[in-house]
Amino acid sequence: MDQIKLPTGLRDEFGEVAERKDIVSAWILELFRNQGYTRINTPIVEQRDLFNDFTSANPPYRVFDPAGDDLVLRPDLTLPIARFLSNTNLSLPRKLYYLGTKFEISPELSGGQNQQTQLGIELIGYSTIKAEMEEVIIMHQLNKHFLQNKLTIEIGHAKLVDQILDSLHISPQLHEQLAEALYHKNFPAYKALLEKVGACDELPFLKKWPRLFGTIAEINQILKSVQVPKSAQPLIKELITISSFASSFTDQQVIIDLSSAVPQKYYTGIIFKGYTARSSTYVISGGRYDKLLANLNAKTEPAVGLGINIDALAAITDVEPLTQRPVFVYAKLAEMSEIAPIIEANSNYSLALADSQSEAKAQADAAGATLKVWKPGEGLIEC
Amino acid sequence: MLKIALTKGRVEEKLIPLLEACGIDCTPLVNKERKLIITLADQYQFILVKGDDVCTYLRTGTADLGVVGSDVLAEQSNLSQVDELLDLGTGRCQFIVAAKRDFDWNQSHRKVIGTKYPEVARRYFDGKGEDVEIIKIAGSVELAPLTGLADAIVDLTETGTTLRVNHLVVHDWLDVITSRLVANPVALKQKRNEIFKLVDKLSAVIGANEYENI
Repeated sequence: MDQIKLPTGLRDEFGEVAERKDIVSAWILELFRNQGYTRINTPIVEQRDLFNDFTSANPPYRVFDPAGDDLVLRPDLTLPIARFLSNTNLSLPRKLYYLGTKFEISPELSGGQNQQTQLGIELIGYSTIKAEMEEVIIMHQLNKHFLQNKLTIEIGHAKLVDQILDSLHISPQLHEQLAEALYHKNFPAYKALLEKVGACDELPFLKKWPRLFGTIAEINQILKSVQVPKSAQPLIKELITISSFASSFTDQQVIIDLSSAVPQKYYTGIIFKGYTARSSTYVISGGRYDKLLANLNAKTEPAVGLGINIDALAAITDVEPLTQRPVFVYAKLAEMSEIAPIIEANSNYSLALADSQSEAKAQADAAGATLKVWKPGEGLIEC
Repeated sequence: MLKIALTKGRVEEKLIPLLEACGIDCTPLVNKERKLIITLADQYQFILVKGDDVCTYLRTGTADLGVVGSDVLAEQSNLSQVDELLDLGTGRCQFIVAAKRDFDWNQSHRKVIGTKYPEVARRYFDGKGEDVEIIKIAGSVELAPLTGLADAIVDLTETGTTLRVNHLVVHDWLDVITSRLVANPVALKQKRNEIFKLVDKLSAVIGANEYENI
């Protein structure tokens, strides 16, 4: 029994589930290729240490190579690309795109999936905010093409929480606890911690902070009544610039979150998350990570990335049915060479792999295909 | 419509008066008989579940909000991934460490701890820098020291009566436990105003006025 058991947290993808992912991936891959992005593939197995700074609820799958080296199935797709860049002299700036599988172990028996297909881009060597804007355009394109404008883009800033807390001159421990409470929107804990901060000029802002997420109009409304700590104003300005740009697409829902949880430690600037009412998790996430290459002993390069969860996107996308019904073509063995050119000439034609016409008919019916039979002198007759 | 995973039993009973005070007619919830899905005021769909399952419903997006004891959140903290919106202040009790009166806490052997909350127990003893063996027990935890299954227990107590009846003495007091209103992070973003409306109503009722700012 054990040998045919699928390991926990993994699944086979069959029929429509797998096909949806193909359709969604193919469209996005073509989009990036047409836009002049360069494709990159990296192996699914990497050195364990590459992911030292990667935060995850669970340790990764471990793999041992014959030399006994401690390897892992990659839990992230950006770090391997950073490794590639730090090992090569690729001329920068450059726009890269990738499609790959990553492995992140879900809590045991939680129904979560440990294997995820992700398609994404990395814009390496661009410090301009136009790189973030390019990502907004891509998210909007996906939204229009796949999600009938039901995608909400959430925009935050990876450094905002730390920047504001730094200005309070509180202990590192209280700083960390407050950040944790904000990221997890733990209001009772935040309120209790705020009492330890005591009276300060920032207090009116601090009191409203956990609820400071919503549309630009809603945020601006709240910010009218409280003063944003000075040190954070440039970051907020950046947030508003990008959010206003995103909102210039009138059919795009955009929200700002002034305490948006940072998906990974390597983010240093604007962060994006995309979701719909039909998804319980983020369909898209990404942002700016200017220090990542420096962490890997390479020259510092500004960079922005975006990852699309293909499993989540495919699950909420309505995929069009085939426009043409498949056709199975049956001919006697001696007549096969006559039908070969016809099959090649029609994209929805294939051979009926049966030795009798009745068997061919049954196979076509089972596959939802039309059966056409080759009659010498008459041609293909639908049957 | 907000979908709310509600811990059935005591948490549910204590929530009803709060909802009533918010002007939400709870008759369908009170007279639910064996139904497990109940809609109130055409706005709130309550799904009655076990406390341990509340975060599962939220994590998978099956429910937007949940009402659950903070003991469950403490035990599931590493996998709960939920936002905590409000301390309802109900169902108050406290985590304790307790043992038989004659138990010597300074003895040299590795202590055996019986508990329904292995994560909470592990964090407590890790914090003390003490290596202990934890045994998970499904119920009647007080029995463990009495029968010799464990040296001490980490458990919840409301009044301490059960401990006293079983001749157990509290060695240390840990976190106070109350019912919490929790949310799925994506639902909170998408139904922000609807959710905060409920949070504000409940805050007003439980007298947590200072919440209006947060």
